Amino acid sequence: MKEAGSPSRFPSSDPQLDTARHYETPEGIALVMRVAGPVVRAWAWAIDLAIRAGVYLLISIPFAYLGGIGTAGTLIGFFLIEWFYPVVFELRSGSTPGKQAMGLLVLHDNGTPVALSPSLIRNLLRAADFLPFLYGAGLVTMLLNRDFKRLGDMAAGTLVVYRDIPPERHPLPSAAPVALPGDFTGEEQQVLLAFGERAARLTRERRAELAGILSELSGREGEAGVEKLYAYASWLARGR
Amino acid sequence: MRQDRFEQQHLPLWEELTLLLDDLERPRRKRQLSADRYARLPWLYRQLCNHYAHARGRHYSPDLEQQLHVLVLQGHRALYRQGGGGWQPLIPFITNGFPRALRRNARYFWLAAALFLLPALLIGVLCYSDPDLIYSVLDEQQVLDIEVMYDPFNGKPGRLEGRSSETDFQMFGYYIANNIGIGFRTFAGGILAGVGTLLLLLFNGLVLGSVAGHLTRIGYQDTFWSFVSGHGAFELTAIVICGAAGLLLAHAIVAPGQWTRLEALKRNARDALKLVMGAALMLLLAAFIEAFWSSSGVASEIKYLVAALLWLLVAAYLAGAGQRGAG
Amino acid sequence: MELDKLTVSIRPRNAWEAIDLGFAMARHWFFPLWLLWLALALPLSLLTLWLFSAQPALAAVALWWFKPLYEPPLLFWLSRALFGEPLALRQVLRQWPGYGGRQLLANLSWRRFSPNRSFYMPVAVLEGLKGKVRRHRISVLGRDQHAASWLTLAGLLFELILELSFLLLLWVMLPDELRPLDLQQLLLAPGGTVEWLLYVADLVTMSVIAPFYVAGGFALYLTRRSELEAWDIEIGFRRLMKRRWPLHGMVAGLLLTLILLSPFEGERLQAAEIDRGQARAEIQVVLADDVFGERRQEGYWEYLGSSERSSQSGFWLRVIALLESLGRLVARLGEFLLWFGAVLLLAWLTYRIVGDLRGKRPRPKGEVAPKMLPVVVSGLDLTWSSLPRQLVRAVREQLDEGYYREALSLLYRGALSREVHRHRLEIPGSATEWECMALVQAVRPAEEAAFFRQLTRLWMQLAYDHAIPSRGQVEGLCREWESVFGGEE
Repeated sequence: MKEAGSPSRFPSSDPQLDTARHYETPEGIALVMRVAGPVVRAWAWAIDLAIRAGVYLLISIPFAYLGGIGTAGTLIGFFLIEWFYPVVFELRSGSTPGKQAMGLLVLHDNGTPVALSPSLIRNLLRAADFLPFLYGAGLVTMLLNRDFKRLGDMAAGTLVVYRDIPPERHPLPSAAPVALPGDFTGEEQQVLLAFGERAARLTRERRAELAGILSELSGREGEAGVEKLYAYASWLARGR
Repeated sequence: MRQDRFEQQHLPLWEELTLLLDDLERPRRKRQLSADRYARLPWLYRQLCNHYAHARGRHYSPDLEQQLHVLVLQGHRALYRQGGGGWQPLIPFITNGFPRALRRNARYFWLAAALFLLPALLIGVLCYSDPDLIYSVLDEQQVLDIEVMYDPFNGKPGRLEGRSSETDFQMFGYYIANNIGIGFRTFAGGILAGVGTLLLLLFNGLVLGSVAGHLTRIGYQDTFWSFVSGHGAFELTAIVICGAAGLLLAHAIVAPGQWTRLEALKRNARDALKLVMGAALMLLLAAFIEAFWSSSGVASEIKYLVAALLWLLVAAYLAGAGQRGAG
Repeated sequence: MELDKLTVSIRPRNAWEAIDLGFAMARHWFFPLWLLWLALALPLSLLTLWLFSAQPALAAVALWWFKPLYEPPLLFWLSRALFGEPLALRQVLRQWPGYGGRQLLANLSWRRFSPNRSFYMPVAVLEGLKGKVRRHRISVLGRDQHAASWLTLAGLLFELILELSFLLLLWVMLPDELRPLDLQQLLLAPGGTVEWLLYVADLVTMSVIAPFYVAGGFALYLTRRSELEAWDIEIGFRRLMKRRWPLHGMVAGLLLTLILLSPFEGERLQAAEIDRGQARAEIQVVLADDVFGERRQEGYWEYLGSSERSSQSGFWLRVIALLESLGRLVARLGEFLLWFGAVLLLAWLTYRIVGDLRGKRPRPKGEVAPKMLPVVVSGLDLTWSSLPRQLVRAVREQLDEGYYREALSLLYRGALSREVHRHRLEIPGSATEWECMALVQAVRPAEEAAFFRQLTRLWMQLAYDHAIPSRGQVEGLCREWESVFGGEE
């Protein structure tokens, strides 16, 4: 059968709906970037808003006692925070504290960290995204755009993606290896390995049910079938 | 090769790479590893890319694949990072980058200038001849405030309150926050097919023109013109430049030519950003002049003289700076 | 129902990513979803308008309240489109009583305020669970899941943002004569066209956001179930079976929709009892809702006595006064510094501009403006500063050390540099050695040209043929150098 329509990480030739974007590096590796949508970005923005409000307060209280120069300080401080708060953080660590909290990151379309001028462009254009009311334009463009880009992201050529964190490795069960009968494709071997890694996180019933699908292969039912699949996975990973 | 052996064999390399990449993500002064250890980074990364390709091709377990992918992403970010975020290039930007970018896009500048000045001129002349017209632009209180500000007997032109170093500073802060904000918005409005830029340019032109016309009509011309002319050299020019930046974006949206809209937008945004940043610096200077010089009680003859010099300076700067070596 | 037709990528995702997938689905299938929503909402809206013809605000509330009525068809349609089998809209509507009528009363009353509405909707609509089983299922699905409530809240905010944006846009575009006098009146005045306008805006924004909200909740549900039940593995296993034992595979081909639409028996998943902390949190969520009373802040004026302050506050007054005078001092000082800086900046700018306009910057004597001077010719660095002052001596020193190549290179670079800087020979940066020689021969006296030809020949033999010259040859060149270019400077 053809490989099309295969689920999960197994690549497919039919384009499936997904939020992952691929970029091929000079080394010939296809990087996967998972673009972030309006909901998570809205809450990241809300966190930033709270932080900015706090900083506004911190600035304006002491300056209130300094007369004219204090007013000047407050105004300039507000101005700088309003326009450059995201720029500073994006250049330092790739994301504002709010985005950091939601696990987001700003990158160029090619997966590299955002540099000064794209960061400036995307943040100055917030003024346009903000119109007519509270990011109305930004919301509409994000809903329309395949990569959830707002106007600023389009002009700057940037993406907001999920930060990839190294996954927790789940060890394969330590069953005595049993050689797989017959030849299996790479994908099929990988599914068996995936079963070995994930089975511990499934319920006992579900595990047995999944193993039951392959009872023809393992020749066992129920818990014994599960053990047999573990043995195959072990053989695939470790050999004899 | 079996997955387990593969992992055992390459784990030291992945660990060394992880160590380097993690160190690299720290701020520069907190890094612990020496430069010669970094020399291995590109090689290590290429090895990792190989391993990742193998892991995918041989269909190793999803967890391993994902672990390597995360490391590849991190390496890609570290190795292909573009230009630092430093401010060192500020001086060449002022002496070369900005004026050159402006001259490259001179036609947008002239268009923005026309959009700003022609309505201003028109409404100015009309307000000069018709005493009631000003009220269709500004409301009564605003007109009253302006009349107080530029009353020849005020002695502190451009202000409602008294003048001291403190209020000077206050106004300095106000001009920065307000004027640069307007500049940025004029630029950003360009992406809405230019509508925002157009409206802001027209609106600011109308207000300025009507106030000028009205004040000249009631005989306050001396205080008004001597106040505005000095910082206007920087401020008005900068607003027009922001307008030009907005029009640059608008052009990409409305008529992208041989590019896709998105590509045209990205290309034009680069130059537009230079214009806006340059204009922001000019507005900073304008805020300073407006707060500390324009409002001072110096005789208006001197103010006019200084203003003439400033206009000359701006014109010479924008037309001449960075000519050498421009090819 | 072929697995190969799965149109959405099922892979492990975090909750936020799952919502994003839902948004991608809604964007992809926006028009069918939108029409489905309108197909039920429009008749109902006409009905409410007829019922509450005097109070459009009430009609709007009713329209909002009955959302659970018109959301199920979207979900039903999505669950089929997932397998590449989009149904005809009429078909979906005809089947509505089958799936949409389930637990309608609960959905329209106490469950209307559930913050997880779209996340739990598939449990009732697609699986048809109710009562204890449903609660059980929900407690398993909802364990450690918070994104769904944030999705609901975000949906509400998005509606608000779109609606106000829409109204503001309308407001801006309206000609002056048609505008009511102030915005407050526009938004708050009862009755009249404005409220009707609001009603229309409500309808439009709800219809736009609904597909995204429903699909977001559905994707969250899908992701959670595929994580709990390892769907990707099941799909892989079935495909394996289908390849090796095609007969079984045929039967297995049906599957996923069946999994999706058939209830997964609650026993297959261990359900946790709701612990007390969680229960308390849920109670708080419910209690926090507006239905349970409201909190209102009212302001009034009260005489608090004269504003004279006690002696204790006198101290603070003095501190503040001190701060203020300090502020004035700093301001004075700052102003001076700013002036100073501005004057410096202006002076510097003027200096640069004047320099630029003249086409050259003031530079040390003896050097010529670099406009036409190449700094690098044929990859050789010719800048003044890169060469030793006493060149011939440096060459001889290198000869003594046996570095012939370096010595000859230095000599050649020195000669070229002299031609360029002292005799203002215009050599393009891309010129080859032969071109340099031709240029020198064309302009310079015969003796110098002969020297240069000799030097170039030796240099090229060394550089390209790796033929090391004899010491005598180089020494000879050094002597000629002195006669051609004069002694050391």
